[in-house]
Amino acid sequence: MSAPPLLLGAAVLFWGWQTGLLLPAAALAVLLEGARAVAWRLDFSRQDFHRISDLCAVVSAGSAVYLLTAGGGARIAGAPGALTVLFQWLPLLVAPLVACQAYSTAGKVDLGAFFWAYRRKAAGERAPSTDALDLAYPYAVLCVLSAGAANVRTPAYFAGVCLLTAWALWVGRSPRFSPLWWVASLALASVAGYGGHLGLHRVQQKLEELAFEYISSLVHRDTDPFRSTTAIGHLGQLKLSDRILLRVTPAPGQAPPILLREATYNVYNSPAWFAVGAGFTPVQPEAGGETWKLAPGPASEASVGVSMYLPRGRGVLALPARAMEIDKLAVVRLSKNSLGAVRVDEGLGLVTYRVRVGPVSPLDAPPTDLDLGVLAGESVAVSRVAADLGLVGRPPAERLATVAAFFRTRFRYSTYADRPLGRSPLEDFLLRGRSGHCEYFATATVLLLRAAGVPARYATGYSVQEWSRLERRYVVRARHAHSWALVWADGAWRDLDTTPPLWADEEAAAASAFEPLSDIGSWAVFLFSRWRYGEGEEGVARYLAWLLVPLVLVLAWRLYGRRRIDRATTEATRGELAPRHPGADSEFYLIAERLAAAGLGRGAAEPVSTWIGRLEAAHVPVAGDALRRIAELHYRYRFDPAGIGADERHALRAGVEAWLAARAGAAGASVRD
Amino acid sequence: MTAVPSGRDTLRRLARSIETVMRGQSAAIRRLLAAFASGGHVLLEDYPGTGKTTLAKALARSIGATFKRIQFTPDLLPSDILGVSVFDQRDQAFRFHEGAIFTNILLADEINRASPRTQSALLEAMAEGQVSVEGRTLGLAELFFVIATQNPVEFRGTYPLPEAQMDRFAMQFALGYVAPEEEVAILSAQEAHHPLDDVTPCASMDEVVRLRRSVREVRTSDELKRYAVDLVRATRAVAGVQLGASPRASLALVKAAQALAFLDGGAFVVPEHVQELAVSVIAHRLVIDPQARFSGVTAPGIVEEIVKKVPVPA
Repeated sequence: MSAPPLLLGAAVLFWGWQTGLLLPAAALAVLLEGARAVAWRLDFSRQDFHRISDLCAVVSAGSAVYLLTAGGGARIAGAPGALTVLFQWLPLLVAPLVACQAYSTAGKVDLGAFFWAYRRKAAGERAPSTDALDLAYPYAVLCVLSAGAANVRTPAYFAGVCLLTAWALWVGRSPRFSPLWWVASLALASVAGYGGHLGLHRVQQKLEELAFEYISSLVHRDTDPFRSTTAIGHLGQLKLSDRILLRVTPAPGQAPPILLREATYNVYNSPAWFAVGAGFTPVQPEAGGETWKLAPGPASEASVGVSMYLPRGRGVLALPARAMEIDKLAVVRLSKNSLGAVRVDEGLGLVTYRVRVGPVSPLDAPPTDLDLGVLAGESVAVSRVAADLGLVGRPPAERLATVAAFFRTRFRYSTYADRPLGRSPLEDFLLRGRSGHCEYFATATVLLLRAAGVPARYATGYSVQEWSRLERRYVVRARHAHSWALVWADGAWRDLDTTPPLWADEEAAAASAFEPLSDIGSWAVFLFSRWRYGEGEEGVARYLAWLLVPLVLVLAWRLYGRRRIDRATTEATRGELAPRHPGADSEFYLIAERLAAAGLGRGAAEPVSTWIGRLEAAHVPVAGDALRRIAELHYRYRFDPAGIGADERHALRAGVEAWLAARAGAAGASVRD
Repeated sequence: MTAVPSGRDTLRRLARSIETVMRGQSAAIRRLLAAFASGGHVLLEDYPGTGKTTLAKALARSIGATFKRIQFTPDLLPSDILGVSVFDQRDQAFRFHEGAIFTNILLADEINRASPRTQSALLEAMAEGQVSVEGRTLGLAELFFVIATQNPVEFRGTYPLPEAQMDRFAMQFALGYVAPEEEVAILSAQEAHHPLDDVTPCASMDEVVRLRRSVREVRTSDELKRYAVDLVRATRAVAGVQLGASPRASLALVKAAQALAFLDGGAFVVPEHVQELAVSVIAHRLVIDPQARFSGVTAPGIVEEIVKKVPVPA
């Protein structure tokens, strides 16, 4: 291993300290640094390294699968995602390879361990190239990076990184300069780095703010509990997909269609509905963590079961009217607003829950002035229709019946829309076209009732109506998305759906011919997701771990069978590596050593005369002429097979002594330039 | 100091004589003489007008030896080089007319313009100092030195030398353009007449033969032989090289280094000599992978890298 002593151990411990994996880190540090103490090495072949590398890859891939599927990332480390946890584990996952390098005779890892292409190339060659990589420094860097993934935001991290860097660099510092210079420049670099990362952080924050402002000014997000952009005013055919979004098991005895509400809005500003004054407040789970009471009070025993996907673990839940309590909902954080929307702030990709309903709708706040407002854009048309129907002045129940009858008898459902110039879409719907989709009906109903003095709100969600014989439950597709009115009558909020019931048939008629096929696929995905987010994850982990045991055993057995080679002592190694060549005792090497110590050493492939020329060109006071004469004698001593005479040998010795003596006084200073 | 072998003056005289014609090309002249003195053949590759032919002629004229020149053209035949038997009507017998190859110094000008068949006619002569014509084997003179030129610009109507032929040349090098001052000096020198006309033989055949013998006596330590071998072997493991240099390359490298040491007045080879000649001796023998060649890899570049990487004994 090329890294200075204890660097790897320190880096591993630092990693363990930051990520909270101190125990495995300590064991690993002892293992890695222990290689310096033991007096043997294992003779690993190229293939052995490949096997270990493959094992590391398999374990890493297994960990990745485990973290990604079982949602382990969220459970094990609390907040960070699976990839972050995987990155934190990385030093542990590649540790076998580094440990094998530490105990191998080669001290390096063949490049084929990392690249399949390299292995194939080597297999096809008679004399494969011996490119190898020393993992010591890369591993130290990996430890530092992975420690950073733990995101412990204390100055200790930066200090630790600086110390480790200093340690790693100390060995390779240039001997030409005083250590003080080295310390000063490192300190400067550290301070600059600290300032730089703080500045970078500020800049990033500012940029993020700007970008967020810009993007939110452009993008309208749907299923936003604060705002629902309708397709009112949309021209041409409206087509929704057949994708299955929800799976519903109604309470026994309950018949479809059931309306599952996602959100309610109270202010219409064409073409969007807004939820004004509806901030979210967190909901606290009951004991056990999977039961969430939305309001105090008794709930019925019967419940509706719903399964829905939550992209990125966030989303608004679809709930039946008068929902009191949500059961078996495995999420981390849940919140609700005063308009009846319940939002999952943090959860898994698929949630399955049961909803119990109560006698009243506790989530929806009593009506306010906002629930009676009609903005100027639509008020003319709405007032006219209200006046035609003679709504004002009638009893409330009659008003509802009149409005419902009005829409049922005079309007027809259509997903196709055209629009004459100069009229607002809603005005056109009410006065001329009298056809449109549910958003038109719901919006027009709400506004008409408001004009008649009945508080009303606009609700969005899904209509449950399709029984799947394949899945033995109700499925809700994207085209079942629906909107309706919420009306305040007799001191409670009631659903009023004025869209002609034919709408569902019309939507179904437009369904794709491949729908049955895609349903099967969708079901398979659902089953997989349920398994993935289900309770089975401990079982999966155990399964994976047991899979690894035989793999590790076989590998360990194979590796243990390697030939053990005792480490040679340093002196013996040197003697073995550099055979005694003629002239090896030349005094010229003293000069070479002196210059090398001053950081002016000869390059491995640099002949002596080139070296002297280079030093002279750099104005190093080496007394080039004298040195050349010495080098000439040295060359004769070294490379002339006839050898040199005793007097010349003496001249060489004397010349070197004189050269060294002349520079002894000014030793470091003069040579150090 | 051990006694300087005789023949060193010959080499110095030749160098001076060539330098009167070739200005600012002392490095090229050193290499040419190193190859000449070590008994190897030389291939000069450079752009037209850089003095390849002049250099060859200057060497030829400085030696009191027979000199012939063949201008290689696409329609040149092997018999033009080796010779041909002609039926003599008077004697009623075939008489062999010797070709241009029966000489001491042969200038093969623009060698890559002849067909491969004709180029191959040189193979045996260069490697073994003999030619086989019509079933007979005829020996060449003891001093037989081929100096060939080719220019790298043209592709149309040229035939690149086959690998086997390249390997027969001990060295290949370029002359390159000289410094502006030198170029002015060349203009001035040629105002009245060409300096080549003034070149007179300054070394006899015997002297050259003696010189070659002396070069062989220059000592080479085992360590430097190993260094030369290491350099050559390294070319066989480089990515992008289809065919590395042969043992003939290490042989030529050590021989040329001996000659260079001799030229420098030394009695033994030092690492600097080996390094100085490595590119000229090794590079032209490498066959570069076409893919590597397109990505800008050149044979001299590869050898330079190797010289910079292989540890040199010191």
